Amino acid sequence: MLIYKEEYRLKILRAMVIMGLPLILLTKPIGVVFAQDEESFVQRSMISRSDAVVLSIMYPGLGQMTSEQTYKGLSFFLAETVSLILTINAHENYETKKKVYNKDTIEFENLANRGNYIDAVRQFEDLKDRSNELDDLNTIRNTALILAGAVYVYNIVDAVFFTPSLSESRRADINNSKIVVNSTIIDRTPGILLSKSF
Amino acid sequence: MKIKLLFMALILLIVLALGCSKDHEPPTFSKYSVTSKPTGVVATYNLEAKTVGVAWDMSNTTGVVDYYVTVSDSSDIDFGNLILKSTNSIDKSYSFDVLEYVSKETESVILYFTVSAVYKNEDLTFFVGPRADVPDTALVKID
Repeated sequence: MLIYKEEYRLKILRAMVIMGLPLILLTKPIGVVFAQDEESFVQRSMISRSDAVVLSIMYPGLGQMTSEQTYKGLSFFLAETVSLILTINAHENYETKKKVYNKDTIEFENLANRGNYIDAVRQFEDLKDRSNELDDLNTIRNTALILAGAVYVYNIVDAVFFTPSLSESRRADINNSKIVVNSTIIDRTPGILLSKSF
Repeated sequence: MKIKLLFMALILLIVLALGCSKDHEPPTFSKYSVTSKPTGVVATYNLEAKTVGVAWDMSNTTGVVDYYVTVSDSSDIDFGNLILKSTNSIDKSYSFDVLEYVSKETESVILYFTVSAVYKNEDLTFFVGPRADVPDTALVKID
């Protein structure tokens, strides 16, 4: 019971690390609106393509999320996280069950010394079932790992070739920009702010 | 910087792939499958001697060093009052003393007999092989 509790605690910790690290990284480059005295302006945080690639190498989806491709980035992030959790979970299960399996295999081999056929058949059937179970776990683990690798590689390819550069993004912003109406306070006086990017 | 990170990512993927290789082997039964079971078990009760003579056949006696005669009072041998007797020989017969199993006060009881061979070879050390498929019965009367 104690071993299981410890095992779950480790799993939760790992999941928190996997989920937490990218979130910490994400908090820095989000878009921020500043209102400064009479010279109010809208400043948007934007990163270059090479920074996006570096972020994507660190964890899939980060580069896209910080390059105004939030949904795509989120998809990469979730796909990678789910694949990694599946891989880690299957790996832990595989390793735990393999230890017991190896121990029981030795016991099965030792039946040759003063053991009997009935016990040997029973243990053999049991080991066969558990070997199949280990095969399944290994397949799940490797499939999830391949998926994680594929997401990772595609994420980098996407960051290198399909993430808009700073200038492209700005140009697109200018083309798509509309006059934005916001309520604001300038010098403690309430007013309306009309803004447009050029 | 980018090249270094890409290289590290590649190394990580290779390490993960190697770490996730299948490293268990399915069990093999070949060591135990060389054993064979006795056939034609016959139990005959001798009222005067209070013994049951058990005889059987064994087609392949390679590696056989002994036999175990199993006696039970239940048709499902393992669920009855079970006794195992080693014959201490490679003869295919054994005389079982009934009074070792039942008390003198018992009027009558049906006993079930089955036989297993004991093996000793390169792989097996005094390994008790499979039991004969069909056990034989003997109606034992004490008085």
